[in-house]
Amino acid sequence: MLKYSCLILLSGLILAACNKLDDINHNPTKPTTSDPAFLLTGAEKSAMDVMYSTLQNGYFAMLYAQYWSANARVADSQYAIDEGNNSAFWTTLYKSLYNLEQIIQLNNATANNPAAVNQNAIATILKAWLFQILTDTYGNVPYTEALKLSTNIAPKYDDARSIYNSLVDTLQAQINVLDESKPTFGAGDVIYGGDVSSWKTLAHSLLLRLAIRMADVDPAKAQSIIEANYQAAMTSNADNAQVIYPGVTPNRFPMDETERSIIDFFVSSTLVDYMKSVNDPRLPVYARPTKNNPSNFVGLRYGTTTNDPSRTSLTADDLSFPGTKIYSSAMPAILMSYPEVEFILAEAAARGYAVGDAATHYTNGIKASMNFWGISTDVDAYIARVPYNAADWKNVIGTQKWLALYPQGFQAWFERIRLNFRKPGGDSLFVAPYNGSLDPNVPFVPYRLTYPTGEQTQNKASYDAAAAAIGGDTKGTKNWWLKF
Amino acid sequence: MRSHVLNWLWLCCAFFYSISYAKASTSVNQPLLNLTYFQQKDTTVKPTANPVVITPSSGNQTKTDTTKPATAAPVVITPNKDTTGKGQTDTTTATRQDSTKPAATAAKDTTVKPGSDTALIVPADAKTLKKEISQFTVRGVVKEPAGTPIPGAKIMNTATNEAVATDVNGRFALKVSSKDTIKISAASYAEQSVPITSHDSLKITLTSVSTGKKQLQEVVVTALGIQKNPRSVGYAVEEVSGNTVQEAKEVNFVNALSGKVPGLQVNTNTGSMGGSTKITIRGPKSILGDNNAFIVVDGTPIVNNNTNAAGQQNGGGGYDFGSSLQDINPEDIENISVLKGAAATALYGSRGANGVLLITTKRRPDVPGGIGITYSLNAQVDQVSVLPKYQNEYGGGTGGKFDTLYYNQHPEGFIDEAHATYDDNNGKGRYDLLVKYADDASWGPKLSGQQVRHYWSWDKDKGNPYFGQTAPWVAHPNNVKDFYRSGLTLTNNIAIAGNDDKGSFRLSYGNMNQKFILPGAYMTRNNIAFSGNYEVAKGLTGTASVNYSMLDAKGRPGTGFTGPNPTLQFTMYGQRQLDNEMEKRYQYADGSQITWNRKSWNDPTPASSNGPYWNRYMDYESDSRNRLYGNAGLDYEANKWLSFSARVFMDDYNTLEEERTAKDYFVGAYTKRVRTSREMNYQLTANIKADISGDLKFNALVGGNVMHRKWTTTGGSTTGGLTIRGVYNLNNSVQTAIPIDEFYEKQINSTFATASFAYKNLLFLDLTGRADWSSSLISKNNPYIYPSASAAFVFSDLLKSWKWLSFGKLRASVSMVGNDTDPYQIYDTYDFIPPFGSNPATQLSSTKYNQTLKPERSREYETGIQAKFFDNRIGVDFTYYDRVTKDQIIPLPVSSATGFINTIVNGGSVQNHGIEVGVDLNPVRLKNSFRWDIRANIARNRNKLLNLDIDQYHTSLPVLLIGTDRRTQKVSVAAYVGKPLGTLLGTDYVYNDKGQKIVGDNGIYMITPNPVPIGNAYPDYTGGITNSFSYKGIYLSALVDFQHGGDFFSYTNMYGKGSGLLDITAANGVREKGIIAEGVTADGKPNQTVLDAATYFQSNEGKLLSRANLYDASYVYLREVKLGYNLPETWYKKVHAQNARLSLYGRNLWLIKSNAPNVDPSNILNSSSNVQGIEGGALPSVRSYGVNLNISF
Repeated sequence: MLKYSCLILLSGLILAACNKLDDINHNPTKPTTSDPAFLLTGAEKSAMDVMYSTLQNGYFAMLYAQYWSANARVADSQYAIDEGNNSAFWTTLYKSLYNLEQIIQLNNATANNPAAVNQNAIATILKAWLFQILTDTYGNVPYTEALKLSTNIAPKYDDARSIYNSLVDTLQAQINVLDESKPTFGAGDVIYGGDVSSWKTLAHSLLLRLAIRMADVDPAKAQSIIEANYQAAMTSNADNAQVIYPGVTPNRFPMDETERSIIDFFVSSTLVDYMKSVNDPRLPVYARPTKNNPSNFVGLRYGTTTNDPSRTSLTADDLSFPGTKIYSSAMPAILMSYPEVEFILAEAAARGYAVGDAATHYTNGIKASMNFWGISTDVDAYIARVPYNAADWKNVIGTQKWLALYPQGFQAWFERIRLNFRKPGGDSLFVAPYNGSLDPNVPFVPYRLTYPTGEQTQNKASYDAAAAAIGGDTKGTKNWWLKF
Repeated sequence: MRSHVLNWLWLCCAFFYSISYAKASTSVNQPLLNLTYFQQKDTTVKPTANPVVITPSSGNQTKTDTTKPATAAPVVITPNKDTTGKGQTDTTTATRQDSTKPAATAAKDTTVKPGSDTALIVPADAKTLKKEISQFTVRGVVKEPAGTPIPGAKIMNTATNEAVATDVNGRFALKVSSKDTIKISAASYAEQSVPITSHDSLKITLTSVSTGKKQLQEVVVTALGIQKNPRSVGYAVEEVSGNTVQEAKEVNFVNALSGKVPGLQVNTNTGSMGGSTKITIRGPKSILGDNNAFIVVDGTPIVNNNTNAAGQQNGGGGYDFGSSLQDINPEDIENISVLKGAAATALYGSRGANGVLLITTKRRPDVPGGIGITYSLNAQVDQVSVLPKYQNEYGGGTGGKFDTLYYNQHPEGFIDEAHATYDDNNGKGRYDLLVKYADDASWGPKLSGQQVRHYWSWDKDKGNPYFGQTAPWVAHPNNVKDFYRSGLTLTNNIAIAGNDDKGSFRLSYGNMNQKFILPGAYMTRNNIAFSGNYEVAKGLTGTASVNYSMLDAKGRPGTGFTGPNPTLQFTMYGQRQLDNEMEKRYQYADGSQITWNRKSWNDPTPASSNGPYWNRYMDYESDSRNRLYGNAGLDYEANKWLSFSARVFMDDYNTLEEERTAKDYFVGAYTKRVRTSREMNYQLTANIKADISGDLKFNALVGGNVMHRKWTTTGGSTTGGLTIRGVYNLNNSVQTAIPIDEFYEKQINSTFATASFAYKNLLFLDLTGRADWSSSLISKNNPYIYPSASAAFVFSDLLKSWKWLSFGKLRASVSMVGNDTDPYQIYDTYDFIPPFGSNPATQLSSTKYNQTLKPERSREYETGIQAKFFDNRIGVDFTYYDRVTKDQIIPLPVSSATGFINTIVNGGSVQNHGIEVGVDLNPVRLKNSFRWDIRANIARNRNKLLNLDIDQYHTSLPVLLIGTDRRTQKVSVAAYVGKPLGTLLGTDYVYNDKGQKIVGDNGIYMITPNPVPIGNAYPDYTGGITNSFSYKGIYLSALVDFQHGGDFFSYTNMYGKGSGLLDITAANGVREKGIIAEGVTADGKPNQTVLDAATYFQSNEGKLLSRANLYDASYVYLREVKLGYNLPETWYKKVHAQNARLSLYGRNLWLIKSNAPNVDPSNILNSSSNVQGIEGGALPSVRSYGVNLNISF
């Protein structure tokens, strides 16, 4: 009898427990849904965190733009990169893209959010911004099959040029969809606070960025896009698309050195020497005076290793670190700013597009940059020292655009290689790493980053096809818009 | 007995006095010597939980016993005894006791029924009474199985505690009363107890027990604690006696098992402070799981999760909080059963998938009847042994130069002009030479005695008394060695146990105090354990076991490439000339740090590195854990063939982990984590046994179990630094601290059954089945079922005419087991991220979960043979197994272009097949009792990833990265289809057709553009050889363990070379002459480009070229030497002890052979995860010497 009662007890115990099992496996401490605004904030912050991180902006872009020169970890400036930083860049951008995509999916799933139209358009514009950075950095990247895990864990890579065309169409479509009369994001949009007309302006400006980059290979298309959009693009620094960090950990500008000074980089002699040569008033903003001589700025020759005999007599006190504003919470993380628009238009005009006068745009660009950094004295005199020269437009515009893009490393690097400019007049500006490149494919400067190593195993077939399609997965492979 | 207690108290006082003396003293040797006169009980032989009555009149005794001399009386044989003797009674059939019950249920003593007077609290009176009645002298002789007399064996009357020793002919005479029990013990033999039933003389045969390793016993403990006669078991089970982990101690007892069990691989780091331990049985089975064995103590599953940070596992740095198995008091361990194969573990369901260590704790007194007290003391000294070889010719800096500081330019840097040392008479004036403080490398000037300004000669404003002073630029060759102090570990344990005919109890208290080799590192552990059982009514026994442990640690070493790891500055990035004595001054009066790595002469801020003592005393962790585990239950014998058992098991702990970074030049930080875990198991079993016919016997067990576990982590980290220095509290955060808040819950409901058939006690069949319903899988994929079948055939019973064959058994099994997964792998969730200003933020989790998840599946075939020859002089045990684990649950890393980093899927198959061989030899046994035993084991596991097919996505991957080293990001541990798990990928040299390395025009090796397979983290084979010698009361044993094959990538070597710290960077004048890389140019000519040494080591042996720092992990190690001595009776009688034993031991004594420079390849574990083969700046290994004293009363 006892035996049976025990068995009954036992089966009762198990049956009672069975019903609960499924409930137990729902994590009670994590949400299964979210608010589009919360996702937008997260996506904008995480994208900016990586765009301005010392690991990605610093060890890749600011070096490749030759604004900076590495202090102790010089191999990165000799193009032997830390693959972890590379993977993190790719992963973080795609993750931000997915969270933006999630906004659209949440809105589409509920179908009762009156703000959905504008919210989806804003998310889509941000996606276009990030996809352009990805394709400019790597060439062909997953695009049409990206962000679709449930059906495809191995997305194919799309042709970079077709991505460009799609981004142009996408941005134009969003301009049409955006509707100032409908609700939108609020403060959760940490770029424009949901302001619909600002997003329209940004979409027009991003179209200019896309178009000018294809100007050498598809001039007709570039011209038509720029001519159609330039009037609606940014017209002052008040239009700038940027994130101002609250300045409180964990929401500090990524290069904010408040908690621990950043000693990884000096400004390069490329930057300092040129700025000195034209007495650029931005130099004290871009660089710090040396500790040993508070009135002097000294850049480190790009790519000089610590073992080089010329380094052993130099101490950190003899060299200039990047400026304090760049390393502070006051520095906004720029998505796109007005000076860039003016330099795009200067170049467009120089190329003969109907966007007005090149010299005017050029001057406006310099003035806008000075304005951005709060410099009001010596501006006109400076412009007189670096006058516009139609015959030398590539070098003249290139140098000034390069100076104006500081510290937007990635855009500056793309423009450096696209325009392949020299100092006005034709003297060379950029140098090869002084102690040589460690990557035989790129003795002078990388044209792209190699795909993250994980792609070679996790997405091998697509990776192999993409590597073959672009002409080899090396830093020496040129992106489709690069013609010189 | 009362007097004994008084004596014991006296002894305790003496011990604690001497311990406090040892603590206060800087010399650790002296107190050790003082302690040696304390006496100790023999611990080599211990009865396991259940002595078994062998009754000669029972059924099977009709067979002729060919190996044993007839004994005069029924003999109570404690389980250590050799069971191979033919014709012995099978415990599963011949006794009243059901050996298929879990150990705890059988704990009731069925062997000895002392008079009821032993239940009195003061048994001494009863003994006195007994003694006076009718004593007579019993005579006898003690021999070993071959007939050689054993002199010096101890014969003790357990009723009177009188003892005598045997003479040279093995003879003895002892006064006894009828119904007394005598206990016979001798070094290196299994102990026996014999009840006295007549006045006849006795012939007693003792069988050998190798030190630390049990011979086959009367019973082995198998899954769920079921005890079986070893001859009936159809799969490999290894038993290890508690003594193995008690005499030569490790803080985590598991570390002491290394090399002692075939197929059990124990990997450690400098584990003396309870660091991570990886316990792998028969190779890694899960691609991404941790593959650690499951630990069960007296039926209670012990949670052994690794809580180290993810970055810590791949050499990125972080603290190693180690294995929570360190909570278990080694002194409480009676026996460890190692269940290796799937057939052995199938009854544990999913949790046994990686093998099981089944620990049985001590239950009863060493002396049957009455109350016994055992005291043991262990003192151990630790010293670093294998240190990297450093160069001592060049000091810190780069380019071989000093900086200069002129008095004229910076008079504030000098006491006065006269104190500036040099003047070149070039008009610049007087100056000092300055070390390049900010360079954390040793490519500086030659150490030739120049007067220089060391880092400690600045900071006049901080009142530095050394300000302005110079000191010679000279080597301090021992500056690393001197940093590590001598460690000292003291362990006290006292246990009181008693039993009578109704029940038994054991109560123990253990205290361990450790001073680790690192300054500021301490650990204490207190354990209290109680276990007992009592027959409350006829057939109904209550049983309970409660263990409480309290662990407190402070200053555990950091690991990997981070500041808290002292090897970062000693071996990876540092300056060689530093004077350890000066480094002990790490702080000015105002509290600010003094570091050698200051930014410049006038800026004391650390450039990268803190000083080593600042790290130890100002930036440190502490942790503590309180843990309660045990069980309680009832056993009921309904009738002769049916019994029931009900149990509740609990394992409940809370851990506090705190990490501190001082606020000084840096903003400071504090992280606090409280981890709680409670696992409950409710289990009910019914046991059935039946004789189907005379020859066919049957046992069965049916049961159910509900497992419920809930665990949490709460706490937080400061953000933006600390407001007030020196206060570690989350409220002291500059900005609001970021909370940590995690919660997990899981339940598994199970039913299980086994059926065992025995035919003529020579053919055995076991069938088991278990079904699990796991909350971690969706209900339609539940339950999942694990069947197993195993058979054993004792063929030697049919070959009695083969005198040379002492024993022979064939065994075979087949089984299917499975594995579920962690909670919350089914439904997608969002993650919170800290609000951006006032704007809330979330993001989707990086992992895509999966509603179609199925359990992981394994099937295993195992077969083996066990044989003993020539009167047990040679014993061989051979096992072959083949296991395939498929449908693995893996967080599949996917292209992050999908928006996720990984997705949980089923997929991939891993095969492990291998052999395990154990050999016992007894080359010498002499009449004078000298004896030499050899026990050797070797295991070879072949592992292969069969495929990485992911059916859900109709895809198949070529390779899956398990982990990538944190710093170079080039070396990965990978699962490569067609290759073993643990394949190491990294960049390699580029070779030409002739296999020569190609060097570029710049003198630097060409490097493969992508990582390629360069090695494998897992060994080809592992094993150990124990030689033991015994002579009268003395025994000596030595264990050599070894590993052949396996590779590892070494940060120690890579960074140590790149920073100019290791001897190779200054050997043979390479700094003056430069180095030419060995290899050829692209056109095949020998490379002739000379590189300076720094460039050579940083480029050609640096971060970019993984292969240059890949090393063979093979080793041969003299792991353990023990010398034991049963103290003469005349010594311990003075304190009225019954037994005393003293042993001296050493562990990790001598790395006999290794192919890897600067690192001990057996000491490189980062954590117990599956990321292996990446050495992240391991601490030097530790050599230990100890003394162990064990006394029973």
